[in-house]
Amino acid sequence: MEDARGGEETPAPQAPHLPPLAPAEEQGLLFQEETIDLGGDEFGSEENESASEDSTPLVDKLNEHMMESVLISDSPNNSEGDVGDLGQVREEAEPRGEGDSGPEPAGTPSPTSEADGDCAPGDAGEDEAVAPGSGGAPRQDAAPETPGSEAEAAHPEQTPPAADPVPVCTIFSQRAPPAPGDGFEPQMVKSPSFGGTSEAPARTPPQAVQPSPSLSTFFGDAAASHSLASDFFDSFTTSAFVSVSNPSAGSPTPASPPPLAVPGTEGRPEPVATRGPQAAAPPVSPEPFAHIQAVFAGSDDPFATALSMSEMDRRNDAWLPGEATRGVLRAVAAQQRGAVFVDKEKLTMPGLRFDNIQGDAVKDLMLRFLGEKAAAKRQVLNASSVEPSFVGLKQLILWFVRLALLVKLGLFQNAEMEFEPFGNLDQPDLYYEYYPHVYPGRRGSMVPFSMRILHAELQQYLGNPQESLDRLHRVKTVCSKILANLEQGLAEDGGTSSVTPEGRQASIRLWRSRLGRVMYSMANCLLLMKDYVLAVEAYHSVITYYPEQQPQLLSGIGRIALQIGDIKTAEKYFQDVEKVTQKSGGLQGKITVLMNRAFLYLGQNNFAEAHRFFTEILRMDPANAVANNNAAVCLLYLGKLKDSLRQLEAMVQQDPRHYLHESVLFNLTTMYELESSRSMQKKQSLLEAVASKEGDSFNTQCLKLA
Amino acid sequence: MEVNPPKQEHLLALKVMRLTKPTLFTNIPVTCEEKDLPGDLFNQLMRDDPSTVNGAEVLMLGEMLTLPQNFGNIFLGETFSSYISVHNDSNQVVKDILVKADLQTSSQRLNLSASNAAVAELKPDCCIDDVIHHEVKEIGTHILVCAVSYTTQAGEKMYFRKFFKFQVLKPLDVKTKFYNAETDEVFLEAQIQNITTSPMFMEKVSLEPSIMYNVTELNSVSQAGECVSTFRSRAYLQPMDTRQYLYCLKPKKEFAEKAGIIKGVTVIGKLDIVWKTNLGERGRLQTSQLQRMAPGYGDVRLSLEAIPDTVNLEEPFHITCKITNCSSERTMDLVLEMCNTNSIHWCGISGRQLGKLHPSSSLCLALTLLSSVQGLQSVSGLRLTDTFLKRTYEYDDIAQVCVVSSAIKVES
Repeated sequence: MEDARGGEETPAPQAPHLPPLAPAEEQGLLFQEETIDLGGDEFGSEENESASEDSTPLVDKLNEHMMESVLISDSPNNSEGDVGDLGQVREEAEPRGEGDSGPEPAGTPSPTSEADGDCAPGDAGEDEAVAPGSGGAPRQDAAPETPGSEAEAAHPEQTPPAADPVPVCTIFSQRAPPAPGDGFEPQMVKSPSFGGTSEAPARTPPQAVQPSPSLSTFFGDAAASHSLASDFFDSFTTSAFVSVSNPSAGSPTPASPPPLAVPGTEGRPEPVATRGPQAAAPPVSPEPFAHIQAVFAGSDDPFATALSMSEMDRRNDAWLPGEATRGVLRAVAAQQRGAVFVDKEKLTMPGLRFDNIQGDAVKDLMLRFLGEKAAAKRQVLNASSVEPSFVGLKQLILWFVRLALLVKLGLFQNAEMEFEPFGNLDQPDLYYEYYPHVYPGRRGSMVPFSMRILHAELQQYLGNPQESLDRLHRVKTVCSKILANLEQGLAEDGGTSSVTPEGRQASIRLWRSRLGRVMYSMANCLLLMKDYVLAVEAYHSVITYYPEQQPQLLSGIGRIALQIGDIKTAEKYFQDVEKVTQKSGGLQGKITVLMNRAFLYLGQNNFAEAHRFFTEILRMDPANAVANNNAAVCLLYLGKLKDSLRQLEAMVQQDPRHYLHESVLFNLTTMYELESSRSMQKKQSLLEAVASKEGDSFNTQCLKLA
Repeated sequence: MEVNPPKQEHLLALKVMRLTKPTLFTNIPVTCEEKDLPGDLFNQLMRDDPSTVNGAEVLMLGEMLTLPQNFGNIFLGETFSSYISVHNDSNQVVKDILVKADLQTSSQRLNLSASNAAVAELKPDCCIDDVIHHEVKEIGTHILVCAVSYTTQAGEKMYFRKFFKFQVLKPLDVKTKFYNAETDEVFLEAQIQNITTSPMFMEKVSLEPSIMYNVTELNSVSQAGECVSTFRSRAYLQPMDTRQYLYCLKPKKEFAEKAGIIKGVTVIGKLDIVWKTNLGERGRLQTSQLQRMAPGYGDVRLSLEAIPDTVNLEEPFHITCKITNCSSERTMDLVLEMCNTNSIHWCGISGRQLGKLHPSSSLCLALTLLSSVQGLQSVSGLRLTDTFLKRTYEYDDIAQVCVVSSAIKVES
């Protein structure tokens, strides 16, 4: 309180998870007056009658109140305001020299950008993510002495200190230089009375969450097995896959684009491959592989079957290596027994980077709020709950799956570190041709196509959307080339091997759909970059690859226009959707049309009509979670908090498995906070519901318990 | 001073939340192909996720609405909306509840409550809801003052209030520049910069002219019979982006003829700007009256009515001048002298009498001249002498013509 009075501690204006206007705790002051003097001359207005007798104490009380509001604004970043930009904001918030009874600053609502979500990581990190980051203590495992350990050990020191300014991705901080003195006169914009100019609100640089990298075991540790194909696959036999670090590190907040955390390059571990220019020879003689081949020869083993060459393999695995890699592969093919020495830097040395036991944020919260007994009921899948059978394995094996899961958990930094050794996914040892004895005659890349997509997409979640775009363009180039090859009657890789006409058609279908998938990712990335014009173009091109998704994509483009505020364009797209769906008909089409109409009414600020249309959808499809949630949201804007809550609660109770979604929970908790001072109890009961249903990828922030 | 009065539990709780537009939930698609090890697993997960778009799960922008997560920014010209909820947290019925929401700005205090009537009673766990709206018309500090009074079962009258303070920021930076054409037209360039942190869709940027002018907006071009904005599909302004608008103002006839009226500082008009942001959140602003210093023409103004843009070397051509007596009450008797320059040679008699010219009236004069030098030449050397006052007015650089060799045919 004293802080606030001193005017130094106005909170860093970010409180993304509390509605900052949330009221202060009531001090129970009984004011007799109707009005108060809000501050000498400045505020002196018509209603000063009560001020004269009692103004000083009143102002004091007023200050206390407003300070209470400060507490409410409750920014986790309520510190010295280490982010420089906030300073300006603070100054604005504190008009000085308004006479002795001037109003003191209170809960300054946050002038931060609400849309680009850069606030998310900062506050997300508050409780959990900061721990690994600032703790920084490297968990040095008693790991085998791998050649990489020195390199790895250096990382923790390189983790940037919390106070370091984090570089902001240029795309997201477009700030034009001030206009030169070109004869333009600044004009005042006003409503009736004009107060001075104000500075543009400064952006807070997104805070990067840096999980502490910890040294872990490399499974292909010794030179003995470095280039075995089995390296690639045996990870599931040598390490526990489920060991990943804190789930909240860098997890996104609902309703905002993923955190624009920018990984400081210094915090990034060196790729293992840079250990030194040792050379590694590809398999020299077939003998050591005999047993591997024997393993794969077993025909009833589905895994082995998957690895034997077939037309489908050729189709799926086709990839066009880069120039250097092609050279290596050609050399391998030319002299199978000779020693082709490959610079070790060019080889892939993947490794698990995180073997600390993953936290369970839901359980942590349960321990805090519901006690140990309740927390004991919480069960998450872990290594021991996976059957050691093939079915169990199927969910955990292969790097792609691990990396995909890391991304699903929002552990983007971790995923990036583990992706690092794979380089650009074009190293020679990622091609079957590199192992002529293990995969005789087999060609193509071992890297699943989805992994390439994941590899490219990951960067945008780390705040490097431009890098994502670059990678996606490279993938697109190869896809286009393969398609061109197929259409010219060649094989995927441009060779002349015979392909049946049906096979060719199937292949063209596959590669067209892959090209479409790349375009989808590009469009998503552009949307994240807020380059709406290009994003819309990209979504249009997706329609040519996935014509069956035309209604959804056109609706999506319409929603983009709506998001920008371009209601007319949104309407135009929604009309196009109506035309398209009229032909196809069907329940899904009708729902899409109604949904769009509802959104259009939202854009026109007509919540009553929007509510009517969402309700209409519910009549046709009572289980529609989106319509249900959106109708409830409309009710709130119509001033019907209780009705809105009833609707959401009923929906969640009806089918918790389906409806306990982050966004629904977020809306529920927000409304609980608005409803009464006892929101905590209600949130805790939600936590119990969540505990029985959600896995550890659940984003606990949406419960707003912390 | 630091001693707080004894705390008293209130039976009612007041909660306030700003209602900015809801946002659409975005999800992070992770997919795989049938042939990959997870098989259909990831895709199935995405289908089961209610926040993805049915049938187009990879589309990042979903349909699920989420409530505003923070106060956000509020800008001049936008509408401040807020939910005010008064909840009975106690287990007794409370009577005569009056909720009042005022907004205190630096200059005034406004009542925002929908109704000022008291609610007779509020049962436990029930609430009184109000959604207030206010178009923000001032920059700077605003304080929302919510006051609640009620009567307990015991008949005790209770009262409390809360203050919520927020800053209203400036959304746009507007700069203008005037160009005076040789005719009476005035061109206005306006640069509008988005100084908020979110994209802004400019729905309308128009110039409302003052009564002396007619305005033509020069921000669209006709393409295949359709009027296309010069900004094309870039209908929105990214944060810190600036956009330039151009307007042409012509004095209305009645004012144009009385040239004396448009003199000194004149009011041109004001810009009216309407924008929209997330899901149609609307804002509107006007600039103050734009003022322009009309070029001073002195007592006698010489303007050009007609002049060719390209002429042949050493061939005579014609221009038409208009001479206006701009003085308010003085009749002039004018003599015209034409002085040759290095390149411009006047044809005709110098020193001729133009006769009397009454205040605010004008006369037109056809003159012939030729140029002896190629290139862009300035027409200079006209002198008017008022014989009453023995005052001479000099007119140089009246206009430019492009002089080309006569070998090149000049299209007329």
